[in-house]
Order: sequence, then structure tokens, then C-alpha cells
Amino acid sequence: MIKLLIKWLALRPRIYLNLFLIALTAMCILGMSFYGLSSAKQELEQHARFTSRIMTDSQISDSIYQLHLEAMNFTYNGNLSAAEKVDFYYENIRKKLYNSDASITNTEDTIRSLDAYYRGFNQLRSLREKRRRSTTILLPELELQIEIALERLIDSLYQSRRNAALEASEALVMFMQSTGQGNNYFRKLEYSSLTNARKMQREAFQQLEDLGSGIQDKDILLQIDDIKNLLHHHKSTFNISVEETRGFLYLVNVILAAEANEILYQAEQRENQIAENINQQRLDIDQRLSGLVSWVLVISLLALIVQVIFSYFITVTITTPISTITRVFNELSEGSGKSNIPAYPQNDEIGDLTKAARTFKQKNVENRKVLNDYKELSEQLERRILERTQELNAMNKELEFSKEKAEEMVQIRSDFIANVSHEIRTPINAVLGMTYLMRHTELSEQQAEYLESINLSSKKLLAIINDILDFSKIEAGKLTIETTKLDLFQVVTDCVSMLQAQAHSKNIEIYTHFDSYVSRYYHGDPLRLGQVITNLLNNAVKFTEKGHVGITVEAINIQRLRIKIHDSGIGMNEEEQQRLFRAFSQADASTTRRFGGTGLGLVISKQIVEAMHGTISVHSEKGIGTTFTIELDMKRVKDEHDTKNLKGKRALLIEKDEFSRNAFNHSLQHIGLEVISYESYMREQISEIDVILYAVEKRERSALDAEMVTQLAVAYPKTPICLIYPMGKTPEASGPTRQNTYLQKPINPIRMEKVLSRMLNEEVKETKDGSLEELRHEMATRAGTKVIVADDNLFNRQVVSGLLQKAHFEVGEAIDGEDLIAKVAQAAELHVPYELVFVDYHMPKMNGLDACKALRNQYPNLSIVVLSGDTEDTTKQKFFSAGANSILAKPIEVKDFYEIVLSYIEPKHALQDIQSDDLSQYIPKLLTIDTKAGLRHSGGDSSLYLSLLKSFIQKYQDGAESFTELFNTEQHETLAIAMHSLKGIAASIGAKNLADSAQVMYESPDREHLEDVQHLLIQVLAELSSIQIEHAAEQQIVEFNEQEFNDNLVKLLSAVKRRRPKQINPILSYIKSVKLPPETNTIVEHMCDMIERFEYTDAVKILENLLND
Amino acid sequence: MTSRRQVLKAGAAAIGSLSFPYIATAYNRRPTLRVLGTHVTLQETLRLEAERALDINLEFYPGGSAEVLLKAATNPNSFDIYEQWSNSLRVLWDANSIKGVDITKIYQWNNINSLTKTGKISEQAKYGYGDAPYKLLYVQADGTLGPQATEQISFLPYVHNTDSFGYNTRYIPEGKAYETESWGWLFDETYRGKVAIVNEPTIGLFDLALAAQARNLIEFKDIGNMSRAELDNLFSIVDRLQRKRHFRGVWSSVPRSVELMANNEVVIQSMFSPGVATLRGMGVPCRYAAPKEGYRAWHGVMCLSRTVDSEREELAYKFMNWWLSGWPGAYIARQGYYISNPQISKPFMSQAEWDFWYEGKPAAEQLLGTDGNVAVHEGEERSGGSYIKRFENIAVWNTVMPNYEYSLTKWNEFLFS
Repeated sequence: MIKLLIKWLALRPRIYLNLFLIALTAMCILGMSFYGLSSAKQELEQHARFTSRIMTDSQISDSIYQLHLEAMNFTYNGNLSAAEKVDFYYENIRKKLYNSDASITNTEDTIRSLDAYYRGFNQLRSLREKRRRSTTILLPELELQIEIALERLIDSLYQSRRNAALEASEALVMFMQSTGQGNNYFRKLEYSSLTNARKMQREAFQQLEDLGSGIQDKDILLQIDDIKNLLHHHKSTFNISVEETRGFLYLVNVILAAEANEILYQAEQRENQIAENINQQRLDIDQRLSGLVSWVLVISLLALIVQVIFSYFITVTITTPISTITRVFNELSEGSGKSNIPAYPQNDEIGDLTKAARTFKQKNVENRKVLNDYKELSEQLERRILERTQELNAMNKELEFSKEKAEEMVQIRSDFIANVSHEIRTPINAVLGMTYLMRHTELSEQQAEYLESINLSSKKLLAIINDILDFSKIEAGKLTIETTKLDLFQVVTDCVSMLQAQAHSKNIEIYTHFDSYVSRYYHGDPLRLGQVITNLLNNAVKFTEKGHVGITVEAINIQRLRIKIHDSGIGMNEEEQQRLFRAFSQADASTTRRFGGTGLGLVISKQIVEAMHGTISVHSEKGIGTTFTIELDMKRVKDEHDTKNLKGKRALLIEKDEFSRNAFNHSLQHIGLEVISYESYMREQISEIDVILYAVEKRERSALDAEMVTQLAVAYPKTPICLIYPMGKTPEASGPTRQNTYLQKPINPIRMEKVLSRMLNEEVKETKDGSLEELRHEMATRAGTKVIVADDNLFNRQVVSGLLQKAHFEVGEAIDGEDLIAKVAQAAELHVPYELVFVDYHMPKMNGLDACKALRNQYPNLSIVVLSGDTEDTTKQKFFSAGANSILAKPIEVKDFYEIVLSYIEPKHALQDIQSDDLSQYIPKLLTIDTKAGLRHSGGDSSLYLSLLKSFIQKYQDGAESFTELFNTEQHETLAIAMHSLKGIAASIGAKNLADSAQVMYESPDREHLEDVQHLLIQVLAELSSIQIEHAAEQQIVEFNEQEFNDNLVKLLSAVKRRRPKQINPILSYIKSVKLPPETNTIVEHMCDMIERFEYTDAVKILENLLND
Repeated sequence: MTSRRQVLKAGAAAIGSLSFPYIATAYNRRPTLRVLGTHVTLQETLRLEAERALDINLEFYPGGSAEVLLKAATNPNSFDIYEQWSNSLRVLWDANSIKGVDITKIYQWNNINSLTKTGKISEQAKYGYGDAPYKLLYVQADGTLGPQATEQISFLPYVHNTDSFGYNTRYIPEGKAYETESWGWLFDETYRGKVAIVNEPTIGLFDLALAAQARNLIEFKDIGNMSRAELDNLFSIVDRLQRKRHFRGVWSSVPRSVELMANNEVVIQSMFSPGVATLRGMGVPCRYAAPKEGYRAWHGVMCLSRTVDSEREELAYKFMNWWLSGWPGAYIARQGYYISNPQISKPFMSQAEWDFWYEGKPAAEQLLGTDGNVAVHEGEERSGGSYIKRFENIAVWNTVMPNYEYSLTKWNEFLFS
């Protein structure tokens, strides 16, 4: 059978078969290995993917810790950047959770808890702000108001009712104690402080009510009612603060803590699941891989066996005869050819080989001859190749020469174009110059029109020539890029302002936006960069019919910038975009006709950008807009520019348009300001605002704008307001802003910085002298004055009436002169005449001048103030002769305005100048206290003054130490409040130095100032203790009469129980004057002390004990 | 697992749909009354029925208990009627947000039982520690709140209940009401890692305190008014347990408490009555314990805004009287709550319902819940016995203690220890 197969199969197929089988087995092995490897690879990749995703998952608990830490950082320190980090971590964790592995089961729960946490945090954020506002602004303000009102009440009471004044001063002390306890609650969160504070509040109120019941004087009753209202208001504000505090604590300790706890638990579960999943995966992979390995092994073994068998077969059937024949050939080649070729009868190739060997033997001789002929031929061929090579070399040289010649020609052409263009420019400039001159000569309308055409055409021609010149320069390789220090803001701003007019005429706004990482100074070529930007902006404006054009500068990294110029213009399709950067092509031939231009601009821009080692690209959508993006390598120059004076300042930005608001926001932050931005003015007061930026609406300045600005000026009387006008709108002179303190869109960062630093520096100077605050204070003494404002401009009217209404003036408004006269007359008829008139110059119907004359004729005593933008001497003269009392320049300076009002209106609530009474002799001159001044503040009532001094001693006995404690424990807010009230009280008793140093400490709290305050306080207290002794010495001594004494104790007990200080005081002074047996004296003194400190409950206990004994 | 989760979700959704916050906006000319409160009583069915019965518009503003309390205390203009629990009353009264209710305008006043009027449902009942509602009911002559009867009350008594803990009898052998069942079980180390507490310091704090007291770990002078030292002591015990991972965590909503027990994350926890009902409806054998130490009770209060005008005040009285008119009491009885004048609600219930919910007898037939599903199977018996029996055994009332602020910071420590 095999023999038959051998016979049948020729040698070649046999080898092929063998090779085929070897290949087959090899392929099997290869296939198996490949399959094994690739599935192993797949498994590993999957495992790696899984692991990496899982790793992300396991980072979640870290992020959650960070989240909670930042949340707590915000909660306890009010750190705003911590709050932003919370936002960041929240988004981050949420994203991670969303992308997390589906095999983790509790993702949904975790997201739910995370969301709940974040909701809680946001509530916390707003509640924290509310609470801060209540406890640090509203409450202290109210407390101050109440203290001032009580002090005024004491003043008013003094003359007629000294006892009542004393009671009022006790109410003041009670109230102060209640605020102390209240502050204690907010600080330490102790319930006892809260109940004490509420108790003292009630007692202060009761005291006032008692006081009121014994008084008929209507004015005083009104004052008492006012204070009671204030106390009511204070009480409810206090209660709100308490609930806000509790709500705040609840959110922190219950809601946030519970959700954080839950999330962490979930995260832990996730980590366990993850660990389990990873383990499971590894086991799976192990199992599958080991299966694969055993399969590969089996197949490889089988293949090996098959190969061994076939190799043996081949050796036997092929190698043996071939080696014999090889031996014969070897002999033949040696020339001997002795051996005989064995005869193999095979029909296969071996058989053929033996036949061939024989033939070979015969042909051997003939071959030698042929070999010789061949040698000769080759030599000939070599010679000819050498000749051809020489010819080719000669031709190459000729070609190189031609190429150089051609390049030279191109150079010459470019030079020629460059020269020609330059030559053309000179005459065109002459044409332009002449045209300009001619325009200023007398021309007919038609001539002017022709001239305008000449002007426009020449300019267009010049632009084209410039483009061609640039282009030829580029072609001639003459484009050079300079490297100098470049002010990037300046470059961009210049480009924008160059196109502003064009944009404005099309009613398009150009927005500029610098990303905050962009520096101001770079190394580069400002002219070339400007050229590119101008060109792109020009295109953008040209191809935009409505919407906006924007330029955005971003820093990709430290030395690479991305400048984007985008528009909402006609846009381009794919094909048009591809043609863009080719010479002499615009997107559409028809646009050339419509919009003009050579179409070289973009080519030039591209060349310039490439020469700067940058790239330029375009992205556009038909009908939607186009964005050109330039990316450039530019080296940053260290910013030597100093924005220190703006660093850390807080700006309040009010801008309706979101796009513009964001842009402003960035620019302001970029120059170091902290920005709080709103869509519109919020009534909520924001503290520590250094400057307000208010964007006026795009349309005519509306009444709303005016109202907003007035409200802002009233709400932030010391803060400068910078108006931002829309493009193309110039500010009119009005409103409570200063000249040159406006900005205009689009944002020019350089101007913005200049304007703001000027405003802020001016402001620093102004707040230092503090006169505005004083004036405002003084305005209050004129409350209730009737004033009328006549102006046809609503805005102006609102500014004036807004300022006056703030000071509780009664303000009327008139829209022109006639209206004014009618209203003034009407008021006079009703016997409620106006006392002061503000009148504008230019008004319809009757102007200010005529109105002034008419009013003066009828009302000789009326004060008239003219508001005018024009304060020329001649104008002033006209008004003064018409009877005006004064002229106030517009725009109105608040300070000047107040000064004018104060100078024409007499105080309505003036303090009486009272002579000291006969008791004053008991009060000695003191070093630390101006007792005269103090006495004057107490309305000249020595006993009232003495009692105030006493209260002062009681209140501040431990003052020095408690201030140190506050300072050491960094309770700055409380310390500031304490300083504020110390200042007020010290000033009212006449301790001016102490008051001043408390004010200094209030403004800039540091240890040195604190020591000053303490030093002075101790001196004051030391001196005061001496007058106390003297005053006590003045008292008469009454002999002890048990019956009388006991009767008085009974009366005292009932008075104390009913909390009637009016009844208490006379009894107390009797009791003090009685000479008592020593054992009783101590306890009685203690009881009196209690009553004087308003510790009535304890006093009652002592009294009851005394009476029982 | 998946199907279990889906069931859970469905269950949670069903509960959620009852209490999801919404604002009913009215466009007709009927007068409108605004009610601020919690999900417990601000239910859509009640709102619709009251609107229909009184021909008025009702706007319900439901929210979390602390959230609505803050809103009410700081802004009395934000509501006409305020519904919450007696533990919020002192805060609102101190904050001057609510005003007295005139009992002459409450037609059912005479039928309101003694629980709120004298503090005792029967002779042998305990008053319970903490702010028992009777202590705060009457507006005294000096403007404070006290038990002395006057013409003015600080709140209208209506919904109330006793709370305890629930446990899964698949894992914890069923105990005997008032005999073996004890708050101390919450601290049993056998259930380590499977215990949850309600996340509300004015409630959950007492669960922890009762548990600690039941295990003789601490003794309170007055469990309803713990001193700082007692709080420190209590939380050092709780924190020790927490460090051993005794608690699975805290829950902030009834659906969440249902979820925790249904997927076996906990086997014993603080619970509210609707949560127990839902679990039983899902087939989870949750038993609401009747602890031998007594219940933690709560009492609903309905208050009148200080700033309400006369027109709205009239509506408010209408709404209050409606609550005591019978049907609402029967409706909430089916959720396991009690009303202050049960005799008036009795005609609105079947005999079987009355016997089961109020008398503590085994159900004579299967009873439906307010959602129309079967809530109680025939023969089932309510743990803890009758209404009277349950309210005779009050250990403490939910209370905002004087040391509330301090307890909040302690709560935080507990969560993070």
C-alpha cells in the first residue's frame, strides 16, 4: 500500500505534503497560542479596566472625607473657597458614582445620600449667612439704636423728672445686661444665658412700661413708645437669631452628620464589594488561563509526534539517493568523474536526477567554452555603463543652474511687487491727505459726496495695497517677527477699540474675555499679533449682522496661548472653509462683492501665525457663526505690574446680561478683586463691599436704573459706585456718582484697573475723615422737614428724594416750574409749608430761573437751592439775582448735598444747653473724665450723672479682664461690639480718651490698642471709686428705729416683687442712710447691692429672711 | 436580589406618593388657608376632603420637622396654621410666632379626652417625663404656658401616638408585651451592626436614653430634662457601642426605615407606626414592641399664626373644627394614629376597625388601610393593647430639652465616633 503510494506520489508532492502537515500542526499551535494569548490579553485588559474603574470607586471615600472636611471648614470658619471646594467634590464624587461599575449594588443609595448631603449643605450655606447677618449686623445695630434712644430719653427726662431719668438709665443697664447674656448664648450656646437674656429683656420692657405709666408728657410718652417698639423689634430679631442658630446647629450636627455617616458607610460597603469583585475576577482569569495552557500543551505534543514521523520518512526516501548522487557530482567537479552513477529505477525526481547527472557529465565540457565567451561580453558592457554615467553628470549640473535662475526670477518678481506696492502707497497717501484737507474747504453737497467717495476708494485701495505688500513680503520670505515685551491686554484692547465704531454702527457688541491664567506681559511681536487679531475681528464684524463678536484669550499652559475670535455671523460650509486660507479666495465670490476686500487677509494672518510657530484654524457653521482659533507659543514675562491696591478688595457687580456678567467677573478677578455678582440689585446688604459696579441697561437709561442706583447709594453710603455704560452710550452728568468713574463696554481691562484703583484710593482718603457719617447722623436731627424737588428728569428727582427720605424727610416732587409753584402754594394753604426747594435749571413749561423768581416774590423766607450741571459764574449770578439761596453742582456729591441741607434747615430735635445744677459742686474735676461734658450729656443732672457713673463702674468692673479673654479667644465680633458700646458709654460719661481708644481698638483690634483701652479703663475706674466715697460721705446718717426700718423693708419687698424701681429707690436711699447694728449691716448692704444690680429674685429671698428674723 | 430591590422601590414609592411635597395652586375665588407642617398629617387625601367639606382652598407646605420649625419660628407670615408635635411648641411660643386658640370656638372641646387636659388618660396612667402636652396646653394669665385651665389654649389637641422600636421576628424571638420586650434590646450586642436609630435628637435621643437606662448603665434624674453631665455620660456609653460598630446608622425618613429592615440591613430599630405597617404589608414580620419601661409618646399640635388676619382666622377655626369632626380621626386611625376625641370618630369606623385600632382586640375580619390595600389580616392583634393601655404606659414624651443645643453637638459625636 505504502509502496503504491510512494510510486504514485512524486517526490515534490511528498515534500509538499510533509511541509503542509508541518505547517498545519504549526498553525494549530500558533492558533491555539494566539487564541490563548488574545483571550488572556482580553481578560487582562478587562481586569485592568475593571481594576482602574474600581480604583476610582475606592477613591470615593477619600473624596467624601475631603468633602466633609471642607464643608466643616466652611461651617466653622466661613471659608468661601472651602464652600467652592465642596461644590467641586460633590460634582466630582457624583460623576465618579455615575460612572462606577454596574456590579456595585449600592450606587443609587450613595447618590441619594450624597444629594441629600449637598442639599443640606446648601441650606446650611444660606442659613449661615442669615445667622451671621442677624447676629453681627441686625442685632448689634438694633442694640445700638436702643441704647442711643434710651440715652436720649434720659436726656429728655432729666429736667422735669430725675427719678424717671434714673429709672430709664436702669432700663438701659438691664437692656445692656440682656444683650450681654444674649451674646453669651450665641457664643457658648448655654440655655441659661438664653433664659437670662429673655428675662432681662422682659424686665427692661417692664421697667419702661412702669416708667410710662407715671408720665403724662406726650413727647416723652412718644419716645417711650418708640423705644418699646424698638425693644419689640429687637426681641423678635433676637428670637429669629436664636432659631437660626438652632437650625444651623441642627443642619450641621444632624442632617449633614447623618448623611456623611451614611455615605461613608456606603463607601465602606462599596470597598468591600470591590475587593470581592477583584478577587472573583482574578480567580476566573486564573481558571480560564490554566485551561488554555493545557490545551496548547496537548496540541503541541501531537504536532511534535507527527513531525518526527514525517521527518523520518523523508530521510529514508529522499536523503539516501541524493547523497549518493551528490558524491558523484563532487567527483565530477573535481574533474575525475570516476564513480558510476547508480541506476535508480524510480519514476520520481530521483530517477530524473540520475538521468540528468549522466547528461551533465556529457555537457560539462561544452559549458567551459560558453563560459569563456561570456567573460568577454561582460567586459564590454562595463565600459559602456561608465560612458553613460559621465553624460548624466553633465546634464545634472545644467539642471541645477536652471533652478537657481528660476528662484532668482521669483525673488525679483516679489521684490518688484513689493517695490511697486510701496511706490503706489506714497501717492495714495498723498491723495488721502489732500482729500482730508479739501474736506475742510467750502464744498457743495455734491462735491462733498464725490470727495467722500474718493476718500473711501483711496482707503480701500490702500488696504488692498497693504495686503499685497504683506503677501509679497511673505512670498519673498521677508516676513520678520520681532520679539519684544508685549502687553497682551493692550494689544487686544487696541484691536477691539479700533473696530468698536464699526461694530456699534451695526449694533453689535464686542466682548473681551481673558481667562484668569493669562498673564499681562509676554515676549512677542505686538504689531504682527495685533494685525492678525484686527484682521480676524474685522472679518467677524464684517460678516455679522446681528448678535455679538467676542475675543477670548486663554492660557493652554504656561507658555502657550489660545486666542479665539468668534462671531454669530453668516458662517461658512465645509467647502468654503477649505478654501479660506488660499490666496485670492474668499469663501464665496459673491461675498467679495458684498463685503469687499482682497481675500488676502486670512492668508497673511496664517503666514504670520505660522512664522510665530503657531497654528490657526477655523470652525464654522452656516448661519450660526464662525470661530477662528489661534494657538501660539509665547513666553510669559514676569508681571511687574502691581495690582496690590486692588488685591483683596471686594466688588459688588450688578449686570443683567449673563454673558457680559461672566466676562466682567473674570476681568475683575483678574486684577485681584473678589467679586460678588448679581443679576439685579438685591435688598440684602452685603458687608465689606469696597466698590459697586452697576451696568446700565442697554436701552435709554430707565427709571429702574435710576431707582437701583439710588437704592445702592443709600444702602452703601460710603461705597463708590461705578456705572458701566453700554457701548456707544456716553454718560450724562447725573446721579450720585463722581465724574470719570464710569466704564464703558466692551471691557477695557487697563482702563478698568485705572478707574477702579483711582476710585478705591480716593475712597480710602474719604472714609478716613469720616465726615459723611457725621453729616448723616446730623441729618437725623432734621427729620420730618418738608422738602420739594422739581426736575423733569425722573432719575434726578429720585436721587434727591431717595437721599432725603433716608433721613426721614417728607419729600414732594414736581415735574416742572409750574407744577412746583402750584404744589408749594397748595402746601402753604394747608399750613404745612415746604421749608426747602430743590429746583433744576432746564425744565419744560417754566424753567428753574423763572420758578425761582416767582417763588421768591411770594415766599421771602423759603430756602431755594438750584441744581445745575452748569456752575459758570454768569449762571450763578443769574440765579442769585433771581433769589436762589445756593447752587449745587450736578452730579450731586452726597457730602455737599447734606451740607447744603444742614445749612438751610434748623435742627428739629436740638439738644438743650443746660446749666449745671447746684449738686455739681460734689463732682470734682477728674483727670480721666471731662465731668463737665459728662454732666452736660446727662442734662446737667448730677444725681443722674452719678448714677450713670455707678452703672459704668458696675458694668466695667471686670471689663479689662473680659476684654483680654475675648481677645485671647479670638472672639473678634463680640469684642468689636463690646468696644463699640464702651465707646458710646465712655463718651456719654465724658471719658473722651477712653472713648477714643475704644474706637481705635474697634477699628483696628490689636494687642497694643487693647492695652491702651485697659490702661485707660483702669485709670477711669480708679478715679471713679474716689468720687463714690465722697458722694457717700455727703449722705446723712439716720438713727436706727426698728419699727420704721421694718416698715420700709416691707414696702421695699413689695416694690421689688412688683419690679417698681421708682418706688424702690427712695426706700433704698433711706435704708442706706440708717445706722445699723454691724451684724445686720453686712446683710443689708449685700441686699442693697443685689437690688442695684437688678438681681431681684435673690434680693427678695434676702428681704424675706430679714423680715422673718 | 434584584426583585427584592424592585419590591422595595415600589414600596418606597407608594409611601412617597402619599407624602410627596407639592403645592396645590388654586385659581378659583374660594378663600385660601396655608398649612405648614410635616408629612405625618399633611396628606393629600385629607387636604382634598377638607377642601370639599369646607369649600375653601387649602395649601399644604409639608417639610422636615426641623425645617418647618425654623420656618415657622422665624417667619410667622409664612403660614396660617402650623401642625407639628408638642416638642416644637415651646420654641414657637418663645419666638412669639403663634397665638392662643380660643376654646369657645372649638365645638368639640368638651369631647376632648383627659390625656391633654389633665395629663392622664386614666387614674393609673403615668404622666411621662418631658414636655407632656398638658403642661403646655393652657395660656396662663402672665402669658406663659401651663396646666392651669384658662379660656385660651396654645394648641388644638388632635393626632397622637405612642412610639417604640420595631424588630424582625425572623431573627429575634418574639417577646411578650410589657413583660419581656425592653428598650434595652437596642443595646444587645447580639444584634451588633444591625441596629438603627431615628435621626432626630428630640426623639432618637430618648430611644438611646431609655435603652441605656433599661440596661442599668445610667440613671437619669429627669429623663425629659437631662443635664450636660447626664448627656456626656449617655453619649460616652453610646459612643463606646458605636466604636464597636453596634449601629448600622441612623434613618431620616419612614421609607428609609422600611428599606433598612426589608433588605436585612437592620433587625431592630426605632420605628414609626406607618413604617411597621408597610413592612408587614410587604411580608416582613416586623413587630412593634410594647416595652416594659413604657413608650416614647408624641402629641400633634395644631397652632394659629400670630400674624393671621381675622378672615383667615375664621378659616383656621373651621379647619380645626373639621379635624375634630369625626371623619379625619377615623381616617388616621387606619394608619395607627389616635385622635383626641375618639368617641366622635367611632361612628366613622366599622365595629371591627374600632375594636382593632382602639380596643386592642384581634381583627374580626381583614381591615383595609388608607391606601385601600389590606393592612390587617383577620385574627391579627395590635401589639401593646388598647388605646388606654398604651397611653397608661408612657415613659417619656418627645421633648426639646433646655440642653437642646448641647445635645445636637453630642449627636454629631455619636454619628462620627
